[in-house]
Amino acid sequence: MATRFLKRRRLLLIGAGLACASPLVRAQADWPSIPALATLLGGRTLRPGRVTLEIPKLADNGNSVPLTITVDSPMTERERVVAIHLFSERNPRPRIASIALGPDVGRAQFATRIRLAGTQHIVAVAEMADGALWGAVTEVIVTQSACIDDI
Amino acid sequence: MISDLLSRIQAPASVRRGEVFAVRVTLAHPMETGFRYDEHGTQTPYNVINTFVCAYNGRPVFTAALSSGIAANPGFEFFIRARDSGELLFDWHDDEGHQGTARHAITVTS
Amino acid sequence: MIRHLALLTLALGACTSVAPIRNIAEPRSGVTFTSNDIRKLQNDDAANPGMLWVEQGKALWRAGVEGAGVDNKSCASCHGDAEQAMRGVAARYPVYDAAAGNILNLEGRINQCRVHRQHAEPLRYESEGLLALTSYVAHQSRGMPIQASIDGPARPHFEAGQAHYVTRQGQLNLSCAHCHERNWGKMLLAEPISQGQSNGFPAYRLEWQGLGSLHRRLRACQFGIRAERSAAGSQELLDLELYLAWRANGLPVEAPGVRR
Repeated sequence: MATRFLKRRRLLLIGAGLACASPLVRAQADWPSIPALATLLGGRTLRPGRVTLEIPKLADNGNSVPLTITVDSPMTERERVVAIHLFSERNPRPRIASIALGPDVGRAQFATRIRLAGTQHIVAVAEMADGALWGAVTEVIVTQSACIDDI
Repeated sequence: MISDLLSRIQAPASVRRGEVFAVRVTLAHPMETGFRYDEHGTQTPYNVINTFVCAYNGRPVFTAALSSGIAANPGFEFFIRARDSGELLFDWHDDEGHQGTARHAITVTS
Repeated sequence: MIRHLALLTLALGACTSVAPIRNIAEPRSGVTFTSNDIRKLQNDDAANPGMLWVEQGKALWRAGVEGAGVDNKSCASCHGDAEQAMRGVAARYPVYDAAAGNILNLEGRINQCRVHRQHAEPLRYESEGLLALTSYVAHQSRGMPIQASIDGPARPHFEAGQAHYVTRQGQLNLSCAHCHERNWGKMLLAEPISQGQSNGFPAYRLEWQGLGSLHRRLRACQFGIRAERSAAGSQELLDLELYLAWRANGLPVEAPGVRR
């Protein structure tokens, strides 16, 4: 069973690798339809890449999901990340956070804990000093608690 | 929730010039979504820390606009490059007008 | 069956006063049933949100109680530095107190101090003040093994707690033992069932988005099995707390723990 799973995973990985290698697929990254994200972009192109979104695939509890965003950037005066934006597909407030980073930020990395109202996609956007927008999307599964509690 | 917008800040007291160090913050706040009801059935109004700023010797480093998508008792970790000795000043506000401040002295060695 | 066994154990205990034997000889903390993320949150003081309450408790420990006591005594006025005076205390609780003629948990002891020494109003269960002080005091024993005593006058309370533990309750007709002794380690939907050990409390629960007492957790269990809920601080929950502490003897105090 385990080996079968591994084999399948390897196949999926190869598939994912092929998909990434194809420029056609790369150019058409499927960003989830989030009006607040569209507003931020304002017609600008959001390219997939350079942003790593580290978040559990299966959340312990939608009230608190740990997340780390890392952007591939040297963080020099000229070449740096000036802002990070975080969007959710299904939360009542889809724009989770927008963070402006000053020139003294030494590493393009930021961690926090977020709320997720159910299984959905999360989009992280990095705004670079030259105006380029890079992003990453990932899906998080949020399960209901087995034992209900009166809050 | 805990009164007076309590916070816990972790950052080194002393760093070498040019070194990148982590700043870790936990803020006491329920980050009310506006969807909760209290024991009397009254809806608790939306009230979150909407702004959190960290400035290094007066220069903003980390300026966050936040929503109820941030978990209760928010925690942040970010990284600063040491320039000069001085102070990190943290300042945050919620929708009900409460404000929190914290300071952290930092010595930069060469 | 379990009930019969329990009654038998009780009867044996009462007749011969033999030391009771734990069903789980080697208890496992609830944190070992959680994810890496939760363990990381608990073990990292800079991230553990429960530390906010500990911090608040530290301030309250030193602050005089306003508007009540004539002499405005603080906890520190009598006990001094909590880091020394309170070290190991939580690991022994609940304890029998002759003056109270009952067992006291940490919350009960703090309120006893407030009423009799500080001449102040007791703090309400689950109030931020009581949670902060309880977690601050409990935190001074972090890492120390629980060593609750069930000897002497504590024994009848232990036995009442044990009887409660194995009694079926609520519409789901389950006892504590059904989940936490017979089925721990198995999955309930996406969550593993823990042994229901008490050593992490007061704990920060993601479900609560805040810190809560052991009694709040027990009331949540009662709610989950659709049973009538005992009041926080009630005799049955106190007795149950003593039974749980004995059951957890040897496990380290984790306060403030982090749980799902």
